[in-house]
Amino acid sequence: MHYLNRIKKLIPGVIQVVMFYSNGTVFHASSNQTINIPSIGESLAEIIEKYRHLMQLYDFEEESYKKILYETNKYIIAIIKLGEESHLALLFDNKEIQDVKIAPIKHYLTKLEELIDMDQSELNETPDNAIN
Amino acid sequence: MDIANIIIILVFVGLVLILMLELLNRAILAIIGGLICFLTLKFIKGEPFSLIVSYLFGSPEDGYVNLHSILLIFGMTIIVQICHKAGVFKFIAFKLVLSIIDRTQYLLLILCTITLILSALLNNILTVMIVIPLIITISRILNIDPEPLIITQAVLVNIGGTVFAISSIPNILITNSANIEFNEFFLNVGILSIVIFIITVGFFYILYYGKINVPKENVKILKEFNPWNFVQNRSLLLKSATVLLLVIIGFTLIPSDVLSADIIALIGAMMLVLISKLDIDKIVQELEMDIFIYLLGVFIIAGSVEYTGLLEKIGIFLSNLSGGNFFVVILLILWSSAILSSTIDNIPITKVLIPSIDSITATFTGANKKLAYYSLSIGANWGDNLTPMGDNILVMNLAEKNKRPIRMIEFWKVGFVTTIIQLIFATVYFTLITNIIAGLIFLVICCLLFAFLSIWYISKQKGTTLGMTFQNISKKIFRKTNYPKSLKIKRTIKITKNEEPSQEEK
Repeated sequence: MHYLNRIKKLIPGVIQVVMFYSNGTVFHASSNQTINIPSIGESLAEIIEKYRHLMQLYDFEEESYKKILYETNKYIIAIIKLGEESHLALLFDNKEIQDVKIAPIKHYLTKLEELIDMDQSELNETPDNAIN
Repeated sequence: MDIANIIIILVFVGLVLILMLELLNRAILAIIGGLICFLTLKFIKGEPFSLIVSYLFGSPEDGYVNLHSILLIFGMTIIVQICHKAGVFKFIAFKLVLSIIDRTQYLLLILCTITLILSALLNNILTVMIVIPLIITISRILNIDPEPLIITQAVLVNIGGTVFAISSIPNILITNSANIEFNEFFLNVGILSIVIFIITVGFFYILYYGKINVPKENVKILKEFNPWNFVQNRSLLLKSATVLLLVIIGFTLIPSDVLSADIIALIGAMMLVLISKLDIDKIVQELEMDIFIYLLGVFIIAGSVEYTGLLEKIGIFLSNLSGGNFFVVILLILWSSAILSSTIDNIPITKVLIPSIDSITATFTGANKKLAYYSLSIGANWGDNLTPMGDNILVMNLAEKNKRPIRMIEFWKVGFVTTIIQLIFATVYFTLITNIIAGLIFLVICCLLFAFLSIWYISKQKGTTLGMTFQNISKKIFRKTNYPKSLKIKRTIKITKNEEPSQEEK
């Protein structure tokens, strides 16, 4: 989780980090075990699914999202797309952050995507590296 | 045949066809069918409502078999749902994967074992809904192609369905109708299922030889995955797992004449509802009521079909076909139920075949009668993958939803071959029971054929000849044997001589 720590350092004000898949499975959550982690994963996956459905209702051209922002006076929740089916949710303290900018952490996001989510296209290109 | 009988048989045929074509929700379809049967029996045959009640819940003569089945399914559904909510199954599955992940060659074996355990406790649909997304997530992290893993689990889910008497709805219907105890079923069918599971996994290892390659560096990333992320509350996890375990122990230790399985399941379910402190309204809302409505409809239709006398005629026909030979009857039931359940939902098939088996085996002894029911359970559960029309469509959908689509033809090829192998070994089992010498000969032939085909396939994969593969295998065996010291020295000298370049080469 080295890259997540780097992201936290680069963006001040990050309170919680959740790395999850579209099916709601949480790969990593920075919060402790008293929080209902599977439910957080399910809710985050549901949010993305709802937005995708909204795009369909408007008959917009189907394309993958880049980020979803939810801002209140105290907090900001940002969901950023990582790979084919993986996402990163960041929870910020609104007082400590002016604007959510992905550019400085883009390198680490790519690294995370490479680690936890391989695309179908990459899978087809991967040569056999048998160890069996 | 009078008009009422024709209407009832047409309703059953219609139900089967519409289920096959998936034109209507199965619960609604079964209720419509049940209603037509009821109206036919009431207005044409003048039968009272009490007849329909006896079809729905059973009668004092048959020990209220249908009611027992419904209560058992209801109790187990609640327990399984709360366990699923608590993350019990995903947590155990992921813990098991992490326990062997350093020895990646066992990944396929452990995933197969997880599928067997889950499908022995849950229904096939819930099992694949847990296992397939889990496999795809693991494959994303490990950078491997999930196709072989998905196909193998989808095939094995049917084997898990025959481990316990509660593993599938057909088993529940069969064991309740034939008065088969939980332990009795496990000893006769469960152990056979585990043996067939081992054979099937062996087959998969040969089939996917060198194709499931896990890059070592990705194993470290998978190890960072915390299985507790599947758990909403540690105390709920512990409570749910304990109740599930207690219920299974109850099934094993308490004889059904003291306390029937459905009552044990209901006690467990109510206990769990109370101690879990979950929202009861939400639990009730989330119960899949469609399976109960479907079952009630099927019970009325199956009872009405029995009323027409058709099932007795089928029984007489099968009995004549077998010439009264017990072994032929068993094989007829095994293979015909497998073929039927490959195209039609196995619940109505089982419900309709039970009375037919009753009439075929009327002259058989108690033990032989039960063997006929065991063959029905095996056929109805394992036949699913003979055609691409079974539950495997759900696996396809799940794989596609998780962006890892699988070609239907690829799945069907493996499913068909594996099911045939499984049914052949089940035939060997029944041959062994009826005639031990013939069974042993059959078993040896099957094992030799299986070994020869395996070596041929591996040699084909490696691009070597069959003879070379035989040589490699014999070499491996030769190396592992403890030879006398002198022989070892001679071998060393020979190898050293061969390795030294000759004068000419120099």
